[in-house]
Amino acid sequence: MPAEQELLKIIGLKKYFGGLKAVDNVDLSVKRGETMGLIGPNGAGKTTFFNMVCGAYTPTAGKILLNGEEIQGLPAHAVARKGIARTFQITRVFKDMTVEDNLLAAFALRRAPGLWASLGRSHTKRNREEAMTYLERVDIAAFAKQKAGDLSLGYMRRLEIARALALEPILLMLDEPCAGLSKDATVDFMELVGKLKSLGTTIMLVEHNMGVATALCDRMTVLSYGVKIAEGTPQEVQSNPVVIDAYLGEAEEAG
Amino acid sequence: MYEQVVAINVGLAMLLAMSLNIITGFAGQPTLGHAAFYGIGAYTSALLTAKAGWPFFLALPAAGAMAALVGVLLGLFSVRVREDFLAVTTIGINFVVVAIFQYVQLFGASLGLAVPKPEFLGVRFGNTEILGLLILLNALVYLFMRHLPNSWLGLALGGVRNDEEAAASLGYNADHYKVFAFTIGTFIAGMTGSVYAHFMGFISSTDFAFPVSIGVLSMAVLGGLGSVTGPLIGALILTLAPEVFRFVSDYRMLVYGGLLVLMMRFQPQGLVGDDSYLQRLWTKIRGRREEGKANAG
Amino acid sequence: MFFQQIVNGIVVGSVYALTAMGATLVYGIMRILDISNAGAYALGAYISFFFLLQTGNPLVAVVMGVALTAVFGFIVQKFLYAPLMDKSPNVALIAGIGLFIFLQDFLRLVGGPQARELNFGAMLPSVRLPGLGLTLYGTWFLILGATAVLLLVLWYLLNRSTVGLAWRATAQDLETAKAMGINTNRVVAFNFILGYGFAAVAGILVGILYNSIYPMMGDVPAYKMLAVIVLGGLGNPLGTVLAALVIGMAETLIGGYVGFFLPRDAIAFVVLILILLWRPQGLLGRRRVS
Repeated sequence: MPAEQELLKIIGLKKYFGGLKAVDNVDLSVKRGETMGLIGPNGAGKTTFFNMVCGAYTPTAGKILLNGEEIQGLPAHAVARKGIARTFQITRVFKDMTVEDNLLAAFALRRAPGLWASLGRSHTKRNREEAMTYLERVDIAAFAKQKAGDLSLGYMRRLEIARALALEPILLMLDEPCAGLSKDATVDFMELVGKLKSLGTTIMLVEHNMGVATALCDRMTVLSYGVKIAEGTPQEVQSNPVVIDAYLGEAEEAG
Repeated sequence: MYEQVVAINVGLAMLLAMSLNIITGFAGQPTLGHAAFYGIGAYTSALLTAKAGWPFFLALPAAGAMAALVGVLLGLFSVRVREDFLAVTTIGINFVVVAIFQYVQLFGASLGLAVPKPEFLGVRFGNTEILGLLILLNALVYLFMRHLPNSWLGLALGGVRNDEEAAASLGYNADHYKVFAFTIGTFIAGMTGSVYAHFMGFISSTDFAFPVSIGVLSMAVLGGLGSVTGPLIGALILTLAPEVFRFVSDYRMLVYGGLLVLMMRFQPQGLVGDDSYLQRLWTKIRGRREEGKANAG
Repeated sequence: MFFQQIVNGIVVGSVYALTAMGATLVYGIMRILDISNAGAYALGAYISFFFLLQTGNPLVAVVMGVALTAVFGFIVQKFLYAPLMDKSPNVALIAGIGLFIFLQDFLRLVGGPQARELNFGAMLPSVRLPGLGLTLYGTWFLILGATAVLLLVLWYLLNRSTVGLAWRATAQDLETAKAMGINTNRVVAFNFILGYGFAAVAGILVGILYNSIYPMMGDVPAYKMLAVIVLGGLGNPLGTVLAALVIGMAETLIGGYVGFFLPRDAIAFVVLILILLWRPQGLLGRRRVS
């Protein structure tokens, strides 16, 4: 695989909490335009891994390269400025602001970086129209004037994605975007991600649900107890006995 | 003139309530010691004009700058110490600042400081001129407040107020915006203090004590934290209340305390805050008017 | 002289611990800075004073002062604070300030603006220890004894009783406690009764210590108790005791020896600010992990 195809390259990433090895020596790479799934049973270290890439946690060791540039250990806002946008497992929209304002807030990175520029006017006709195009893309334009906190969970997720897209990221990271959604909302949501993929967005997706991950991902990486146990296309991963064991083990524990 | 003095007090209160609204209403950072910055501005201006011979119109922004300097320090503190810990720390800053005014010779200690009346282009400032200046300052700050919800800064502060982590995920350095909000808010409070000092002609430490801070916070909350006009209405009501309730002067504090309790219990978003009774009424009237217009057109 | 200062510091610290305990308990469950607790402090002292006048019996006076203030706490909780729990903390804070102002003025109107004597102190003898240069006042024994007994009772209630278990569970996480079948409404009510009761005890004891009560007697405790509970780590009873002693000692020793230029009340906050710079979560507070 030629190096320039790799948008994100992660080498030997580790995160220890005291004696607990939450993530241990994981390598991973995401190619431009592909959707990479990060899957694994509960407590496998997916979210910890995700949070290190987004800058929420500082890794104990290892490197995270975005376009060849080391970004590990940068604070979350700096990672966002490098072009990585994320959503949260528990949605974090700005609840007391309108849907439109939530979206406009994501434009500042491109339109008004820095404190002094922030004194400028944000609600220009151009910005508002552009905000509407993002809201239309996730089908929530009708709620533009509503308080974000009044939206249903599914719509909050969409708003979060629209907000992330408005950053015009080079990598979009979704943390269990279907958790807590109804079946219908999940189907709608998978359609939405399909649409983003067809537009060429590079996506990294943390997902607990194997079915959702299989349908959406080009390649998958499987973590179990903080260690990478498999990588490949969904078909390869699904037929891998080690993976089946890890998931079966979980089913036994749960049963 | 009595009316003029009342109007000046309203003007001062409005500036303070708006400046607090930037920090607490927009950036969501608790401030229970706002009077400290009011006092720092007043004392800075008093010393610069009385002891260093500065003209008032240089001392006025300098007073704002000095208050903002301490405000930046508090802002930096707020990055590390959060929420209720921060709230109580701001009370502490109020007490420490007042104690310094009261016990340090430079600040006149318990005797207070006499402040010269300002002069500008040969005009000696009486109450009329002070009132004019206050109207100007209020207009400027009000325009800024009107602009804030439609500005990048307003969105950034909204993000920080709602969820710092989510704001960071959009590329905002929450710490910078918090400190910025403290800087702007304390700058305005400092300028207000300067006007107060020169209006009174004499200041002492108790003018800036903790109850003053509580009064300012009550104004902003009563009107509606985070709304543009709310703090103005709150400042107007709570400044006029003692004048209006003069006929029950012995029960003034009782009524004041009771009003705060009832208000918080039944209209906690403030008089004109989000989804308050008055705001809903206003939306309804405006809706009807627009409907009328549409029908006519 | 040195021992005198140390003992003095401990007595002052004990008074602060008692005064701040009510607000600590309230914060532990409700997560609000309850300034009205300082109103309960004055109210308790006044009720006690009233019954002392009426009956002449100190025991009746103390019991009625504490009991009636606790009942008042129950009422305040039920009609004011409980409905505000899902609102922004600013709302409850201002409501509490309003109630505090209201109570103070109410006491002024009913009891008059002048200071009154709460004269139990004369009944208690003083002890002189000339060898150590120490005078121990009878009221000091009363304060230290009452603090020790009350803190032990509180410790027992919180750590060894069913109510205490429910209290601690609710303090950890109100929603989870509710889901586990704990009647959190009752815990909140119990908490306020205890919180206001503690405030009343503190008010009465301070009234006895200085042989004086007045309508504005809650002014200083109103903010100093906040400094104490924040320094202790917010809502942590043990932290409050520790912080109260630290502040009591600091005030007495710095004020008495170093000749610090700032007055006593500012010292508490200087200590608070310096310690928070070092430990932003207070002395015994846990860092909240998101």
